[in-house]
Amino acid sequence: MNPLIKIEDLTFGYDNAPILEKINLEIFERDFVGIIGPNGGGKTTLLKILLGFLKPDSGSVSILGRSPDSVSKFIGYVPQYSEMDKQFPIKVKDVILMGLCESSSFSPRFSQKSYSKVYEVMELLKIRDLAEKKFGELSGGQKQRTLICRAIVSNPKMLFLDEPTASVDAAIEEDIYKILSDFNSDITILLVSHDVGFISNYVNRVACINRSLVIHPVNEISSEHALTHAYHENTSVIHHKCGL
Amino acid sequence: MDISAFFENYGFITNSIIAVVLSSIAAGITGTFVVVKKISYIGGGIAHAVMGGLGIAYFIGVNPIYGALVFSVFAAILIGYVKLKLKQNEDTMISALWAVGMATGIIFAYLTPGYNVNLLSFLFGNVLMISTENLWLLLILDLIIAAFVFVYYKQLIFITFDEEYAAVRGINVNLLTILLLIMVALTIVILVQTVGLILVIALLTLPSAIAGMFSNTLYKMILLSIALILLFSLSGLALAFSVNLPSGASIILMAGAGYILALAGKTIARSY
Ligand SMILES: Nc1ncnc2c1ncn2[C@@H]1O[C@H](COP(=O)(O)OP(=O)(O)OP(=O)(O)O)[C@@H](O)[C@H]1O
Ligand SMILES: [Mg+2]
Repeated sequence: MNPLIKIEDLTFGYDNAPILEKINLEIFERDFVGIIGPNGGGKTTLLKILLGFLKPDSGSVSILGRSPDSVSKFIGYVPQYSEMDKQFPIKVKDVILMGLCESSSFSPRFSQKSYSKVYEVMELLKIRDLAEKKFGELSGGQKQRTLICRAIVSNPKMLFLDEPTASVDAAIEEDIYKILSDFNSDITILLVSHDVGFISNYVNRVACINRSLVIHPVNEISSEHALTHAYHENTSVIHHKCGL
Repeated sequence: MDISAFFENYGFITNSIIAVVLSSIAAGITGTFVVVKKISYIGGGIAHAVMGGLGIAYFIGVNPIYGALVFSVFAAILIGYVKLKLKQNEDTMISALWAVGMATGIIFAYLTPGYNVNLLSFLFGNVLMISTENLWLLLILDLIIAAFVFVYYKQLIFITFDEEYAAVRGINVNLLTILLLIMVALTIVILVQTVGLILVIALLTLPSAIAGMFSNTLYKMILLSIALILLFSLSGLALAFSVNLPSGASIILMAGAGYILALAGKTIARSY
């Protein structure tokens, strides 16, 4: 089976010092990969390379056999931080509609079909009642759920989520993971999270990133009892195992 | 008084009202983007760079508005290039264009005999003197701006709100950003006719900032901006006619007063 995403000997640095070094990774259809690692380990950087925002210094990245920026429209992405302007005059439903925007849609209005798709994903994330609210007035967790809707509304082939549940409450977090699990029957998911114990119930592999990358099958992770507690303990266990 | 005599005596009033209406449309559309994208400093830079074009056009004896067009579009592309391609902070480039544009304009104007009066009308605007040729040009520029925003409405909101995700969706962020800056440039050329290049930036920011306080979608903000600019411009013109004041400055004073009123109203409304 051909890998969907193929990373070979990837090295990348913002200025000089490499943030990611000699990374190799293959991701296959319907993989659900958890990405963990310490703060500053390079998780977000890796996703940005996979989306084509950043170019590797050396090595290669191909997605669906092509360069990342030419296929990013098949990817749904939930950023770690939403840096959007609070004052921006835009409603929640219009933020989600942007997930359906294409370079060649030359009409100021979206179709009825687009709206029904938007309402459908809003139901799924339980934010249907927020449709007419101004995006800047939402709480952090509501914003995150809106951005998840925007990422999934286009039925992407792949979903990249960068700590999507960092500010949602426990009940919604559980919901989100269940939804992702359902999606996983047709789409490939990369999920950055610090909650190793929790994601190990859902993912099939875990990539541990701290400048270099080590990949573990999930049973290796979930067999560690220590992983159910604080993240510091988790990292130390994984550090040890990865030899990072 | 019959109609032709009216136009003979008061045609300039009709012309200036048409000019004000046309410039309100462009300023409302562009001002909204300038405010939500927070690029008023870029607007200020382009406006002052235009002076270079005006000076050179005077010197070689062509309609100054063409000089303004060339310089403003050039400045917009240069700023866009520095911002997007070189990923440098564009502030330095803007300041340079701002000052060098002014200096170029002043030198060429100085070299042109009898420049004083006309140049002053570009610094502060003189909508009462606008020519029919320039009115037509205003109309064409207005149509270009309106068509551009109509066709690319979604994409323009998107690149302004979240550039990164727009790129994920395959939207050409760099090209649209440059086109957006060119739209700012064309609008500035329009507004130099009515309020002059020094006051342009006030008309691109104050009314749209007021509109932003009361809008939850971008098209409402655009429509409200246009309405407010019309209100300020027509009341400013009325003031200018009635007590014989400079038109551009009167318009800006109206906009300033409106902004303070809106801020005060909003603050009072919040405290109750
Ligand atoms: N735009 C940037 N310019 C320069 N250095 C950067 C930039 N973004 C990130 N870095 C550096 O790259 C390293 C990796 O950052 P990255 O955001 O990928 O970490 P992360 O694994 O996502 O961390 P976190 O868990 O805190 O989200 C950090 O040391 C950071 O300082
Ligand atoms: Mg990160």
